[in-house]
Amino acid sequence: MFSSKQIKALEGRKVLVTGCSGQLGKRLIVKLASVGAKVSGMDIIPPGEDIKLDFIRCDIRNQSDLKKAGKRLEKMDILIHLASAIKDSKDILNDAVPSIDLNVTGTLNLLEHLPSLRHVCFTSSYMVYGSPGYNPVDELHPTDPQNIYGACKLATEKYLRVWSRGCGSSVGILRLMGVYGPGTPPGGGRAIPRFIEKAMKNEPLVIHGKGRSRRNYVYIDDAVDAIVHAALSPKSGVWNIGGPEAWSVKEIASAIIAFSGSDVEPEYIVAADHELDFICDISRAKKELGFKPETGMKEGLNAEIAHYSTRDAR
Amino acid sequence: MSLNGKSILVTGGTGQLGSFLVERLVKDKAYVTVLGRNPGRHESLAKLIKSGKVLFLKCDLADIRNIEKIGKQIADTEYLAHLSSAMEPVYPGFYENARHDIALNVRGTVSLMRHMGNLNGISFASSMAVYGAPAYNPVDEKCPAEPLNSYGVCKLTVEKLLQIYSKRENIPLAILRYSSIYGPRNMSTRALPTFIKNALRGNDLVIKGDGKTARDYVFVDDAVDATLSALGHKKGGIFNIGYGKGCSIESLAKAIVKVSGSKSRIRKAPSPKDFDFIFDISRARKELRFSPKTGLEQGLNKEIEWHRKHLPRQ
Repeated sequence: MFSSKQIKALEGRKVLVTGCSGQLGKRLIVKLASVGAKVSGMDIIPPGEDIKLDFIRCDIRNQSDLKKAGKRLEKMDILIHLASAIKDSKDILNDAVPSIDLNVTGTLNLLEHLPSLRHVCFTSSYMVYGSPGYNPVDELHPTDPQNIYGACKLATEKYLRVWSRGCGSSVGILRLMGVYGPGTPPGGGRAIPRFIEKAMKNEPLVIHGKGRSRRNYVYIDDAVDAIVHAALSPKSGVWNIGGPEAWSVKEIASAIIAFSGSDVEPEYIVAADHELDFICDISRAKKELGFKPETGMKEGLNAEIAHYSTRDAR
Repeated sequence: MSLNGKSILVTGGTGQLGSFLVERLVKDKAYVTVLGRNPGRHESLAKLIKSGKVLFLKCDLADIRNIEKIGKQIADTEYLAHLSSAMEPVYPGFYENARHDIALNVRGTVSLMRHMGNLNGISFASSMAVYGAPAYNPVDEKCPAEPLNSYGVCKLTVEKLLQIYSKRENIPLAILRYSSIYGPRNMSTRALPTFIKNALRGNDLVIKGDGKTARDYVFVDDAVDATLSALGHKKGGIFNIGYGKGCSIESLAKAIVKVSGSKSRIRKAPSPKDFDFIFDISRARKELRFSPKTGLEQGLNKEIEWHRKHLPRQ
């Protein structure tokens, strides 16, 4: 998976992961520890008792929090920046400011307190592209975000690139497709965990529109691999990260119903805005980062359903 | 479209572009409200305020409490010309400055929009800075946006947020990306006014680099024309506003020496190669009926005369 050269690059390096208590963060920390990295995690709540790491409690919106953490941040070499507001609203008047404060200003606050940083890996999103003008969407596609989340991710990307040019450190930007798999929290408008929850409760799965739009969702462990690859490659760039297969919402719903042994039916609600395919072209990440998504939708959905059942049983 | 009898809010109305725009709007019999920090910056605007032809509201958009106080007085605005921003770094450090830019431009715009209840059109003053060092010349609106500084990142971010707002609220939005605006009331510290001041004082004009770097200079009256046309535009969109022709720094310096009748010498100081920047203005020509009228020597003459009157004694 990772070359000995890549793993060697980690020796003696100090890695900081922000958003370490989120879905991606938790699995990433475990993965990084398994390849021998010295990892510190930053978040507003600890990742959980079962995960051992140097935890720094810090809200990156507060410069005083970062000042307090000062000494512990001084020697960080690599930053993996996952911390983010996740609300994908279009209501600028009410929802933009919290996202700007956390994503954009928060990133600047953070960089200011990491003086010895040599490399940043930032998790951006396919939402920076907005509606796809063509498929598959490559990294040269225009960026025209249609919600606050996408706009703030784009602003953060641009600030990181300005910062990188100024100080000479590299910035790798991963534009992640929708991430699914064990631990994906329901809510935030994500279809897959919502469908699984409904199927397990034997309630109808609600599909907005006809459910024909296809996406190459990326399985969480593949996304984690991509992040580790980008964190271990000290080069600047922008890379799409998606899964190996494009499935429609309808196909996903039927599969979830079948795999979970549920006998509910999908319920279609008339909607206009949700009919576009979004398939991201991942050839650049394959070529330049050695990224290789290994999990197909069938396997991935089964894993998420199994995880949901065990969590439910507990 | 005539703006006769319409209520128009001009933010940044005390600046160079803003103050000329306000004068034109008053001539067109619009009801003009100006948001700014310093009403006395330009004499002619101060007169309009004193005579009651323009309502001046003192407001620093970086401070939310400021906007709350004047909220009621701007609620009936029909057309918004949003020009305010920090043209040049306010703080010396990258981080302080970026945070201030975000507070003023990005958060400031959101706070302002919260008080707009009756809008029929928006014109937002963006900048060539969103393109950074352009991927090609002449630069059309499809050229990738890769800002090189915080100013450019913030302009781009406000563009994106306003586009989301305009789509959701169904209010036409014209984004004008201006090249280097020059003419009377040019208070910037960039090359063009610096050359003029030195020419008037008989000091050397110092060109950084080989003088071959080409830039696009647009006269302020032409920029006002474009802004007025954009304010009433039914569809909106993104428009490059420049002269549409390049002028090298060396020809600029020579023209300034010639037009001002100065005895100054032109000198070159070694400096790394800077990027060329020339706008393709065909979209604005077609859709806004924009047609820059003022040639360089004619425009320089007007700016030189203004500096002659306003040059502080040394």
